[in-house]
Amino acid sequence: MDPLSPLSSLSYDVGDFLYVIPIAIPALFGMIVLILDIYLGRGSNKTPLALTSGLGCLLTAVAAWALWAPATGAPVMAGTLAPSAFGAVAALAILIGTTLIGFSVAHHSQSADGVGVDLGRSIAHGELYGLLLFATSGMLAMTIANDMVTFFVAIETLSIAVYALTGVERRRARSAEGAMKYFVLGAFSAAFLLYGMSLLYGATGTMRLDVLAETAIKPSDLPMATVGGTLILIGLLFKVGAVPFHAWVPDAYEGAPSAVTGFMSIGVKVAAFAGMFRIVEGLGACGALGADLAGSPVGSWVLWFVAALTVIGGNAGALTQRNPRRLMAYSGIAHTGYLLVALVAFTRQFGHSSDALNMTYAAHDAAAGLLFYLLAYALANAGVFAVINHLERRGEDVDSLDDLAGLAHTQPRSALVMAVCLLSLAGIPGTAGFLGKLWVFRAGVASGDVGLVVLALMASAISLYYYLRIVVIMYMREPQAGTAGASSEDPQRWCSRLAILVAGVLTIWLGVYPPNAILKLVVDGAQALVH
Amino acid sequence: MSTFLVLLVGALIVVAALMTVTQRNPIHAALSMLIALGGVGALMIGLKAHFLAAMQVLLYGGAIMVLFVFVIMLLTLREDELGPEPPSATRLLAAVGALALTFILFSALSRRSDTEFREPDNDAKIAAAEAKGDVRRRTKVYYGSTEHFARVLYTDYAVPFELITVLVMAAVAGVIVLARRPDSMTLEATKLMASPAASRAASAGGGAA
Amino acid sequence: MTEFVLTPGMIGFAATILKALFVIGMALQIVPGCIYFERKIAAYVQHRIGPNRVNFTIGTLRYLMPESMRDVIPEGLARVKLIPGSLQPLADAIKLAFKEEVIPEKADKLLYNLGPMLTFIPVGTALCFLPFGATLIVPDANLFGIEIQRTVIEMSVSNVVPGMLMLLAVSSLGVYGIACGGWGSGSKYPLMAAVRAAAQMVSYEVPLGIAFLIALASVGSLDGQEIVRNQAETWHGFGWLVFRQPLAALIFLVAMFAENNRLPFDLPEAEPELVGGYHTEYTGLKFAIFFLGEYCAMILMCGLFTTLFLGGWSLGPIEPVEVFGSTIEPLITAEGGILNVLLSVAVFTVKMLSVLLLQLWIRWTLPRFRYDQLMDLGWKVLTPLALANLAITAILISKFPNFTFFA
Repeated sequence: MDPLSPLSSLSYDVGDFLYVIPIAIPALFGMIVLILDIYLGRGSNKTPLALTSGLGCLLTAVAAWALWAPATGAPVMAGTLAPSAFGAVAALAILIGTTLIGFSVAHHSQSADGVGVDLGRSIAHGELYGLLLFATSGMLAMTIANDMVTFFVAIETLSIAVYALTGVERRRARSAEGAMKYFVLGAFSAAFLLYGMSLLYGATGTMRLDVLAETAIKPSDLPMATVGGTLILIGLLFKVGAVPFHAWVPDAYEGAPSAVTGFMSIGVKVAAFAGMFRIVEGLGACGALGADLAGSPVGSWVLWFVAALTVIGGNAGALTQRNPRRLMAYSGIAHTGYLLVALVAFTRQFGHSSDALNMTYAAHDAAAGLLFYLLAYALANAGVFAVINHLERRGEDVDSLDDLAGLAHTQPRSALVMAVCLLSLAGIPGTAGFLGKLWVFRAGVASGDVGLVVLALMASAISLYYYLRIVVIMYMREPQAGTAGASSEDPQRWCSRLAILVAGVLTIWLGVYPPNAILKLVVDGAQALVH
Repeated sequence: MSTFLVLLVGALIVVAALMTVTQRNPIHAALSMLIALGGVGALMIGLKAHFLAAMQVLLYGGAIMVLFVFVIMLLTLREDELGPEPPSATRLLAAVGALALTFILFSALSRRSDTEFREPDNDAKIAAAEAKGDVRRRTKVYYGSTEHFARVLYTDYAVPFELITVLVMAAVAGVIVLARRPDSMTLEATKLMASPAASRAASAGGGAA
Repeated sequence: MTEFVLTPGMIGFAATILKALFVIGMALQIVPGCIYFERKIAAYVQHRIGPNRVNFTIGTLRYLMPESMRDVIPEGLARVKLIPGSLQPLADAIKLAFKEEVIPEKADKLLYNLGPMLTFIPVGTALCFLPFGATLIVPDANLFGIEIQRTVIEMSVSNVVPGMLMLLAVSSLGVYGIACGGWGSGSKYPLMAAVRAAAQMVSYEVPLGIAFLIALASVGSLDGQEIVRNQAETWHGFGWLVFRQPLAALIFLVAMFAENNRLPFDLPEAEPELVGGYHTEYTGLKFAIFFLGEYCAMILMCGLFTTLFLGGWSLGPIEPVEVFGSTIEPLITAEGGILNVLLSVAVFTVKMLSVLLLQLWIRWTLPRFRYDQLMDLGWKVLTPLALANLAITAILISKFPNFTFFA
């Protein structure tokens, strides 16, 4: 080959580019949507945008399943990516969020019967879908990033897109406030992340997670690596909204339009958790989680406390909320807590306790539980927000739980799906959320964290109160005049109806009879992470 | 790079960074930050990473901080618009936190035993490249040179590099979303501004009502 | 007695100091000449005479002579002016130096004082990266008992490899001087001028940088000496990039005017709108330093244009060795010899001054752009053109690695 040809200096196989396809498709469709929006013109029917981005997500899901699921997690593209079934499941969860939320806002703020209906809202649809897809691209990259540079660029891609999305409703002061808070604190956490990464690189001399996992750090460099790892974890715990770092969550969730809130609560959390597990795998294996304390690294005890605080804080905070978006914010924090239980169980394997084999099993369970939980959580949250979006389509905010009163009378199907999804979030048997929680808590018990699991169970019992309260309001109160349900004569609402239907059906299906393909994928994903 | 220079530049960076945080006047803070960024560029020159240093100065100094200063200039904040002084308790807490972090970082970093920089074998690399004949004339392939940097960036790090294009796309779309004027308001405003008669009529109507 | 040895390190260190003094000295010498020519050209364009009062006369020479010989020059001859108006820049400088220093009450003292410095320092630093002559090779020699070791001295103050990039980077910091001066004056018009200047300079840095990249990409190096040599060795000495990349050269030239805030892009100093631009509130030597910084920036940009597009210090197809033949010892005329270097420095200076003359000439020929026209030209014309040019260049280079454009 010509020595000056650009391909001659590639240190990897050209075929590796196949693994980039699932990351590239959303970015490509994002640009297509932006261009399509220009051709559609102002004030026209924007359903094609939703359909296009839906098609993009579908293609991405197929590509992720076909290309990532069979991969073993070995590094490709000179070590910048490590595709595996783990990434594929996380990608599915993210894409569920993007697609369903995207569909449910297909007609958001569109004036179906004339000008002037949507004066209260001014969401730019082209940019909305474009940003959703760009963020999705970053999220997918984050789930299989094997290099801290890739990881950081991916997390920034999704963050910047989501900051902008939070402020997408410019005329509402709340939206701007939420965006500003999220942006400033997010930038702060990015600084933590980057600082941690540079310290870790200084201590270990590598940016790659797979190399990191095999590095034996010299004792003299260990404090530096530990500080680096801690800073990285702080940055990531911020992104998932764990309790000492959760202050931005309610404001950002409340300020953002419901569509964006739904996307944020799913995509950002799934991507951040997937990334966090992969990074913790590297950190733990090289010993950067700290010295052993009672059989497991100090880091896992710290995470134990964070998990306990998050579980308590999230559920306690949700009890008094009247605004559905704020309530979902605290609910999201609570779910972060349950997922942190899985993370704690996962980190127990890095200690040098007597039953190392059991700990490996627990870690495997934790990873598998995490993946299934993420799928269930994505579906349930997508369902809840799809219904809220459906109700908001005519420009009225659903700003109070009272706006949902009597929904069962005006829109029985939406109310049913919402109830199912809320029960799934609460973890009632028969829904996907139950299996997810079961799996995660089993991992917690297997790793010996019975106390934490009991705490999480009690908290989850408390959560029934606020989830069921919404169901009660929907089913047992009379509808308020002039609120939700007024949009029933909107002729083009099939997009959001479809989203609601899919979320409801999948939640039940995964809960009652999870298909083998999904379960196999989840187990494969855990296998790829835990050797 | 001699230790003395590292210490000197490092001290400069720390002082400038402190000034960035403590200066009350935003434009002074921005200029202090410029000094800190320039200091980092100087450290890069000391490590013989000239390309990175040039990029640091060109991008941070010549582009990003210019925009910062530009925006601050446009705002022209007066003293009373800067908001109240943060309460002294807050400042004390911030100082304590910063000191604690400094202590932790220092104690972690100072424990490292080998602090020498493992200089890659540049001569061997140049010789090998010349033997292969894939270097044009005086092309330098040593570690940290522009050519080496470019090769790594465009081959090994192709994925993050391309992902940055997505990031920038997202940022551009986001800026358009956030900065675009609301259509209807603009129309009203331009109409009023375009014809004095209309605005007079509007104000007269308002007065009558 | 131990022999004193001059190692390459010592010679290089001394040479660096000498080169720095030379570059700054040259720049500071060209500025007064520039001011004089600017006035003269303006007068010529406007059918005036221009400065003609302050000058040397032949009689001035008397003061250089011993007292006894002063009568040699007759009184009539002594009144003859040598170069009419040639001392005008000196008179200006004296005037400025003795002006009262006024600091406006509302000024931000720190920034007000920093402004002029921040205009001059980046330019002065950037000049260090300019290759102004052929490489000098000091041979092994033994002079007066001092042993000299062979040393290669590049004729630029700093010869780091990405020197051209450094130059661009450092010169981009010149905005801060204007911004600080304008904002620090605490006055409305300077602020508006500073905002205009900052916007304009940042905008035109984009096409300037891309044109720059095109030049670097066609040559394949970031090293100034390499860029010049490449131009001298291609097309039998005519491989100047202005012939190989005419569009990029044009874009660079236009963007260069805007970077220097020169007419037709001198909106930051548009006196009918802004009183006097960002230095309205400055007097005395601070104003002079602002002035100096601006003219040095012009010199820098002209030097850069010369290096990138006009073959730098190379003399085209003519080899200096052929001109002087074998009459002078090969030690001096061969590549690396002192005469060769001096000749190359002279060539560079002449080329640079020609570009400078073009800048002065255009200033008095073209009218001023409107602000929207300025921005349109920068963003909608120059930048897309430059990008297209860059893309085509990149494709050609990747397809034909040894491509020198129709050579």
